[in-house]
Amino acid sequence: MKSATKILVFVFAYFGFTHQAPAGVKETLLRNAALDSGYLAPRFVNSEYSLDLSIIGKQLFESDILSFGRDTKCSTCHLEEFSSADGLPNAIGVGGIGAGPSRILSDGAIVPRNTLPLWGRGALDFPAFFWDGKVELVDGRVISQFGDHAQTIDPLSVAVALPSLEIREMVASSGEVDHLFKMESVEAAEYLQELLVGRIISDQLGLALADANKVELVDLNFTHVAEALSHHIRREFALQPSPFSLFIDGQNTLSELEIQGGLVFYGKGRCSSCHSGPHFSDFKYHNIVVPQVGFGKNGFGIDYGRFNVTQLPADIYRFRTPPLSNVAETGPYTHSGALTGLPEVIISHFDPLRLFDTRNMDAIRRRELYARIRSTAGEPIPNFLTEADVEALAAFLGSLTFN
Amino acid sequence: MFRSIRSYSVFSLLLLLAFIAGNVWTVPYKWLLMSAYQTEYGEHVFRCDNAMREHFVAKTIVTENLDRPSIVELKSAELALIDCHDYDVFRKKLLTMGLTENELSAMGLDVIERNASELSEIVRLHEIRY
Repeated sequence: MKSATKILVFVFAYFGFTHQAPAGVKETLLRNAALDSGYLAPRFVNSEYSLDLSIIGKQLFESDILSFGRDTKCSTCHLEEFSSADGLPNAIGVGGIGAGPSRILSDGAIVPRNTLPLWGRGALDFPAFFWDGKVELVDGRVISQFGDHAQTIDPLSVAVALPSLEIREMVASSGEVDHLFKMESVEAAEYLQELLVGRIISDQLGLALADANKVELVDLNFTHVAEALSHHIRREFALQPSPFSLFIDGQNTLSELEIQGGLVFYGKGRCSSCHSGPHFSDFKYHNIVVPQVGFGKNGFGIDYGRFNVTQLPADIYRFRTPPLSNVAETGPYTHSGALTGLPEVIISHFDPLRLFDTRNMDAIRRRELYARIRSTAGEPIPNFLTEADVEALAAFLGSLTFN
Repeated sequence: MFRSIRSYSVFSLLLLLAFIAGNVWTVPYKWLLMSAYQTEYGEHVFRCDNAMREHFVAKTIVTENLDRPSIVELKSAELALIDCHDYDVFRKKLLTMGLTENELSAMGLDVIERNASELSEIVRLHEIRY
């Protein structure tokens, strides 16, 4: 009998014991860590929008009227089926045919960076846009390539104006355009914008845009166009409740794996050192060593990142911390689009050399890799993560999905 | 033939009684238990050791340089100590299942010394420090 009891105890212990901290403790720790890291529920973050303007903005977003050669739309690279990204490592701009992976087979112009999704871009506290932060709100001023000529203090409206001015993105390279853009002046940009506004005025969109802004048709300018696009983004790509935000609000539970991953995120993974706040970004510029596929912004497989904006040597290879809303749906990842899965991205943060085969690299690329590794000095390094930690972290990132 | 079977049965019965009453069963049971959980226990030992070390380093950095990034790092390192909580709970599980502190120590030592290929490492682990 005594032995039978022992066997029963053993069976109970073997199958019944969770050998984990009680779920309640871990849930509380995760909630506190998230709030301590600046997490806010979407309802506190989203900004208001004009319904009328957002409707016109949606039409502009899905129209080719804003591309110089009338062959590209905003929605060409910001597709619903890829959660407002395009599913490609590098975007394919003008001249491309089709959407998503099939577009890569066309003869379109390669834009040498990964398309960023649009979630949360219209939020109140979203201050830096694009991989290199080339549009940034600093002390109430918008810093951008327009200098003092930006027509609005809304960084999103300045940001949405840029693709329609970018050669390869929405402007095809040609003799006329190359001559116009040779000096890279604000005047050249304004000339192109006036041309696009002229098109809109002569289109039925013009009347609707003028009515929504309560201005005469002839008084429309590109700021009206940009603001309509901004209102569309504020409405269409607003942050929504995710399993994680509902968990923080106490309206939802997460799986044991997701909670474990959340504790890695805010704990030994040190992800929240940079991925903090309501958007899971500190909107600062950091260097993570990831493979550079494609031609690169600076050519020959090189992308100097933030340096291209500031010209500060300390900014070489740095990129803005990407926000993480819907991150599980928006691959491929990183500025170069080199990594297709979240586990690889996580690994690149603490064990990047696993992702490189230096024996098959030439000396130039190995030197480039070495330079990038050296420039990471000072970046927070996650503790060693096991395969189980990586799996849990990826599961946690999945709980940020609401799309 | 019959006598032979009866003798065999008596012998088996005595052996079974010895196995149950004399706690002989614990020998293979504990061996099985230690074999089954050695890898998982080793992972817990490593994780907790790692978390404690990182926490110590993070505390040292805050002491030397009290700024926001250091404090954020320390908070992360504190949360990472949850691994030590899991380690403790796992120890309790093994104790509940019948292993002793000495047997757990032996399992821990196996993990710690697994990579100690040199005598200097063995000495480092075992020498008395004044």
